[in-house]
Amino acid sequence: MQKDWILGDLLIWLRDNLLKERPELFLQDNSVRPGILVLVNDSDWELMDTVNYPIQSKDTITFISTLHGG
Amino acid sequence: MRYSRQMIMPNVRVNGQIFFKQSKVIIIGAGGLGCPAALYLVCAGIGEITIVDYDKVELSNLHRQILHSEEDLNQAKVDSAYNKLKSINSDVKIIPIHLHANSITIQQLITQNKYDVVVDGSDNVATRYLLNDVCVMNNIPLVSGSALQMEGQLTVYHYKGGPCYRCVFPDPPPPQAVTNCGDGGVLGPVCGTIGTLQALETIKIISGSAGVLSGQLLLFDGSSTTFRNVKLRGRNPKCAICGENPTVTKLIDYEQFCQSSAHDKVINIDILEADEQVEAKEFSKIVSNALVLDVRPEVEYQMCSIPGTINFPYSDIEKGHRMEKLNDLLNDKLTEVEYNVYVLCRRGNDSQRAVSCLKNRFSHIPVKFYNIKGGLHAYSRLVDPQFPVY
Repeated sequence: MQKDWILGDLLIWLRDNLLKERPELFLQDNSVRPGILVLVNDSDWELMDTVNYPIQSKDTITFISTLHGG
Repeated sequence: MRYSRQMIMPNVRVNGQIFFKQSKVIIIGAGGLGCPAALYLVCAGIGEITIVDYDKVELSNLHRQILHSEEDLNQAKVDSAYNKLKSINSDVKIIPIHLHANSITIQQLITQNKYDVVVDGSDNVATRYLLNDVCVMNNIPLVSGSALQMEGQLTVYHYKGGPCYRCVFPDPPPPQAVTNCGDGGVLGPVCGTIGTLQALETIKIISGSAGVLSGQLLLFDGSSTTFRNVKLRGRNPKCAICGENPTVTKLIDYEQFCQSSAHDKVINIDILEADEQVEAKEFSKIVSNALVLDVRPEVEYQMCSIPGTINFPYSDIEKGHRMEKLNDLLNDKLTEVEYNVYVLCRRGNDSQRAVSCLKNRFSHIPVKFYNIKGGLHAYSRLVDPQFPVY
């Protein structure tokens, strides 16, 4: 039986496997840096315990960077 | 007659139109978002609309800031906006305020007037936190829009118990993670879409309609023409400003809080010694037989460049990419005596950074790197006024 993945594990995995440069622009203190919104199935991850959320099969996880231009 | 097509709708009726007439809206920023927002609010017959902006109209604004035209160049944006809007609907009281929104100025404006809605059409992080805080303190809903490149975002903060900007984003982003429209670019209709929707949300708030975009964030992707509506967290009881025990009880210094300025202009750097730089005028005399690296991104180089220069983007230099290519380029020119390489960019900032990288990387060969001061902007100003400034 494989261990359950929580969102926090995914963040670390992304950093170690996919990020090629400047990881501090994505992760800070084992969470996302300020200004990035994490969505689980189109809902703010704050509504599901952020890094502790156990990822389910077929979940869609999205990282949104806030915009400030206008 | 003017308003009949909106008044016959059950969502507006006579009463709704009276509400419009009795309302006061303040729009911060007469740019890509503020222009379309103001336009629709003026057309709809909002009673009083205040427009705040410190900036002047520039040619590079006109593709998206649809209230300004060629004859308005160098005029205050608020005056240009006022003239256009007044000619569209003379019944609306339009108040142009040529002012930089900061803690002192905005506090005065908001406390001296009773605005029903604040529309955030600003272009920087510091102003966004400032407007959020002043709205929470004065209990006014904030219609927030933003746009960059092909994307836009829209939401309403501090509305009927919903979250404020700080509930969702308690800490400002690191300044190096923020891209402004001057650097990243933005498409006119993308701003137009978001600015127009800001007018819609404002009208819905004023008319007391259900379905105001509070506690939700609309994500617009212009490249695939898709809208996504995502659910945000609720109001945070521990929020620093709208929580039960707020720690921010008066407006602060938002530039300091965000470690970035409350405008989207580029701040020039100065990191090299005087003998590592040449003036644009001096450079123009030697450009024809010198090795010149233009370190702008490829898309910008394709728009305009000085003949004979070689495009080698700073993004590659910074990351150490394609260094063999650069090495070959330098070695081709290699002679017994030290020779000079000139480094050029749009404003003279990335070229300084590039010089400082390159001199370390190629310290083993007899080459000296020079920054061209002020970049192509200086070249256009001092040498060739025909060279396009963007």
